[in-house]
Amino acid sequence: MTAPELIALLPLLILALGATALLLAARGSVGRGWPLAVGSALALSAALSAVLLPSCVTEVGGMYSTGPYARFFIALWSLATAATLISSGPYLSRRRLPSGEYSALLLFAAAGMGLLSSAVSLSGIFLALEAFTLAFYVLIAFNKNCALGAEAGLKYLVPGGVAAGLLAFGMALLYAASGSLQLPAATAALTIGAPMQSVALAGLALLLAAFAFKLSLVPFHFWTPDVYQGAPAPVTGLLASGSKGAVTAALLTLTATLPAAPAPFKPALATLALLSMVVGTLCALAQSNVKRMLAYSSVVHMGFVLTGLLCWNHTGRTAALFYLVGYSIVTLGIFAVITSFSGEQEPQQLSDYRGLARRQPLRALALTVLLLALAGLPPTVGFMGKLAIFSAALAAGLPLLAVVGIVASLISVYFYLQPVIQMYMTPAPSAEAIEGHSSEYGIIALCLGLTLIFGLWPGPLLELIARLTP
Amino acid sequence: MPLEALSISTAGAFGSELMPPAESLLSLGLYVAMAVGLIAFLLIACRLIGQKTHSKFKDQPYESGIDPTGPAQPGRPVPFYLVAIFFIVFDVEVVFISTWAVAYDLLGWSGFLQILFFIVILFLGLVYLWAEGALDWSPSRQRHSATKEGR
Amino acid sequence: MTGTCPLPLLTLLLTLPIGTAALCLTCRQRPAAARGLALAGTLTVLLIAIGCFVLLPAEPGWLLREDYRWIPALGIRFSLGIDGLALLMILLTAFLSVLAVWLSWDEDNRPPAYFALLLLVEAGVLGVFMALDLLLFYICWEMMLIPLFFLIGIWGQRGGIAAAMKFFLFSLAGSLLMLLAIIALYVLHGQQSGDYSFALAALQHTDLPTGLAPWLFAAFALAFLIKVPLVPLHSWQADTYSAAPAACSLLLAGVLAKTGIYGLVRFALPLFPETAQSALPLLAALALAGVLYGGWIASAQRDLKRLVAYSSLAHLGFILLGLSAWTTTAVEGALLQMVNHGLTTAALFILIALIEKRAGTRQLDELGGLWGRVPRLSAMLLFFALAAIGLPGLNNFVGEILILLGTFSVKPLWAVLAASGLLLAAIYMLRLLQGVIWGPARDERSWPDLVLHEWLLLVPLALLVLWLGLYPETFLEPLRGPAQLLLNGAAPLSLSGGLP
Repeated sequence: MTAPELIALLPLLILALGATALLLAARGSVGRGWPLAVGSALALSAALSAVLLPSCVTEVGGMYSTGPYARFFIALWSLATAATLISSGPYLSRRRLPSGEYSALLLFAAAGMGLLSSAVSLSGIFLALEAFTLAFYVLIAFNKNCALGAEAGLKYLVPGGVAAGLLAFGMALLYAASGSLQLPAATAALTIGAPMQSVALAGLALLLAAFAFKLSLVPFHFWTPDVYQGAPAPVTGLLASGSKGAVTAALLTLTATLPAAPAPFKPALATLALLSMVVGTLCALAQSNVKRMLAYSSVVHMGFVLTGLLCWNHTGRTAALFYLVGYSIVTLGIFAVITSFSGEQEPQQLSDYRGLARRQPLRALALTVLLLALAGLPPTVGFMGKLAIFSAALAAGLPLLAVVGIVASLISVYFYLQPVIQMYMTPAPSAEAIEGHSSEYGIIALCLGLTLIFGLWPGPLLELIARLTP
Repeated sequence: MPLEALSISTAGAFGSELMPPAESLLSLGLYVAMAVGLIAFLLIACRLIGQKTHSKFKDQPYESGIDPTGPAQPGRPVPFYLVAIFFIVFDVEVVFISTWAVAYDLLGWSGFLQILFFIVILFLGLVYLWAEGALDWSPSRQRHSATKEGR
Repeated sequence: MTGTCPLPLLTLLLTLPIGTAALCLTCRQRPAAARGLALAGTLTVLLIAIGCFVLLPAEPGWLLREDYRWIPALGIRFSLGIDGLALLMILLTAFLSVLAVWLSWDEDNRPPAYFALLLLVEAGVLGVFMALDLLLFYICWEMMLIPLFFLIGIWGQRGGIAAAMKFFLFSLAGSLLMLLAIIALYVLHGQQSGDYSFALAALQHTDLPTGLAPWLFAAFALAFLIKVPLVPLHSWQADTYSAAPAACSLLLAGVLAKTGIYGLVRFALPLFPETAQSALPLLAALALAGVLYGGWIASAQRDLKRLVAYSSLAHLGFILLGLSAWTTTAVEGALLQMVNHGLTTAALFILIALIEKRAGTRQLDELGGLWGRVPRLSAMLLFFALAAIGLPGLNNFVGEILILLGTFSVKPLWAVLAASGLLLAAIYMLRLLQGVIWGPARDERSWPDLVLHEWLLLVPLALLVLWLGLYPETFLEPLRGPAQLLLNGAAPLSLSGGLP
């Protein structure tokens, strides 16, 4: 490993080594705030170095790229982690959870997500995926006094292990067929007429199943609602945005290496996307628990992102990435609001939101706008994302996916409005108000502002993403 | 037979070097068949000619002549699992170190620095566990540190 | 053609209500300030609109246009423009918004939020009337929807939440399909010309595959006709009108319904001329069904607001009938009738709100004998009800007679059927008058008659009703050009060519 390579890896090194140092330095940190501050400072400096440092090499070890695409995602996930860290201080101290380990684990997860987004080889994908999944296994069950949290951790762990197995086996098959783990070379075996194409296709199918599990696409989504419900709210926010986003980024790299989809691959992906949109929407309709509803809504949104990828051209991938960035911002904001509403208990049932607009008007307003953004109504980033996705889908000749997507977003408005109705249109049961912390307000305001700015002025972000999309 | 085998091994247009020769496959198949057959034979023979009497003492689990006591699944102390897990975690790393060791001269200083980094990180992990009291077997320490670690 | 103005007037018209809404939200502790701000904002918009109406010459093409880069990556421009029709609609919107603010002057439940939302509705409607970029149009179309959901849900009467949800989902069902159609047009045009743009002028020149045009037209028409509403799509209307607060009912019937017809005229018909031509008989049949069905159902209503809602259904059917007759007279009549209907329905909703404030009810069975107690209020009710029936000399008569004349010249049967709808109108309106004004009073309480504050609401409306009834030329003149261009199959848009 050479010095330029080390410099190119600096953002990730900051995250990983900083996490290690924090783990050792901040032991017994129940109720302390400084590990969170240090952690977010580390994440911010990682993001800053990812944006500012020029990289002299294009790849590290043949496994991870250091190009603008990778840099963008490292910065994005670092920022998401920093936001999560900043907004979860009061949540941790109310539950007497150790903030040192929490920060360290989140930073490890950020490093893993950044690595996954920059992976250009199969082994790189596997290592990075397992790296951040491992951190999430712990983070989901972080509140060990909560039975649901332990259940959620186990429910993520066991299928996660199966998915890792599928992933490794799929990669082995692809390697057997192509003789390479490097991405363009490894997927070259998928092209028609290549030797052992069927073996490569079997490998790709297994790979796809593992990705679908992480993205919680139907029918690999069963863990999602339980994990969302049991995990601590800030962790759920990062799980929904960062973890899914990083996996999507890797899937995008994978699909971008194929000039055209192998014959059975595209219908399979299209089926996954269709099922996700339909089943996710219908299941979300029946939920009375807001976090479970958001879990199913994430299933639907991953269906939209997949629709963008399925266009199999640059426009579609750009649309998918733009949607992903917008979705991440909105989701982080929503979970930041839920985090700040959490007293002793997280407000999970719809009835917990009764009359909140009277007691906490600002945060209720923020949650409303963010939910409308998830529903894809203008003038929010959700609308612009949907516009980009659907126009790419129609241009690429996928009218069925676009129509189903539109119908799904129509139905989804119903369940996104349920918390809003509870907050604004029903009387409050009690006058107990949960004071928000200024850090929470800051993060919520940031997410809200970005949601509106990118909804009204998405041009610069779209152009940036179009430039760095492979 | 050899002729057939020859035709198979040459007919494979692609990936022929990946396909083992037919003779080896045949011997492997024979070996598997013999193993399975022997086990099946033993089991069936046992069932056919064995005695089928049941009595209180015959149905007892065999514990080297001592009367069996206690439940079949006794609880084991949690630290046992912890230490077992730590052993596995740290033991597996030997794989990486030994792969470096067999080629240390080829890898040079760069390889040395990399394995050093790896070992240092491992060591830091050990220090963390130690400091958290995860290696401490005494009950009082366990209770004391229960609030801090052991997720 | 394109007027030049030193000030970006149209942008100002759009942003003024939004800015005022934001200001309203900041004075959370001072409801009086929010009220004053809202009134000032709507009045300023009205003044600008009146200024445009007085100063701009009545020309067939664009009177004012503004066009800015917005999102070049997707080919979206911030492009606004008004012709005579749009100007008249803006005038109506600005006027009714002032009335809506004035009508809800006593609102004491969170007034800052209430007035802010009202202003946002106004901004959305104004944007709909001005937008020339289809995506900007869609955004404004949604923007008027969201505040209304909150207005109906929070400030509505019993059943407000369900009504708000029904209204929202109905409208969204149409508009999301329209979004898909807009995107399809955008993609087709982009693939044909290489110019990815949402501009109306550009999209008009898209070659549509024969199989696709009816679907796209249907998606557009569905969105617009749900908003009007036309008969099989009307089931949200009566629930929403009756559950909404008075000012919202006023805006919904007076302005929101017009956005649907306006969308049809500005977008659906010019974008798909051939398909639209073949769809006109169907539209006419549905419109006639609306006239007859609306009148019939209105005759059986006990709730005054529901009665007016269904009568509104009948009147809007009339307007659509005039459009689908596709003759100069009928189309001009239909466009004028949009203004007329806005004025009379708004007046009726205001009067119902005033009656409800006094009597505490708006059920026909529980009212009666108003003439003896509040003669001035009753006189105003009589006046506007007669206007709604179409008494000669009042506004609705002019529009209706134009529509009937224009229709009769091409399709006599339609005109005959529609005229029998007028008979139904007389039945339900006279039933309303009989039940409310005459008959014995239900209790002995004495009510205050109209006070100055309420006179200010009604007198401008009454004057306009008389003006339109006696000298409609003032308002017909700006409509002539747009109507002629619509009939020629060339909306005013093509006059100014494509976008820079």
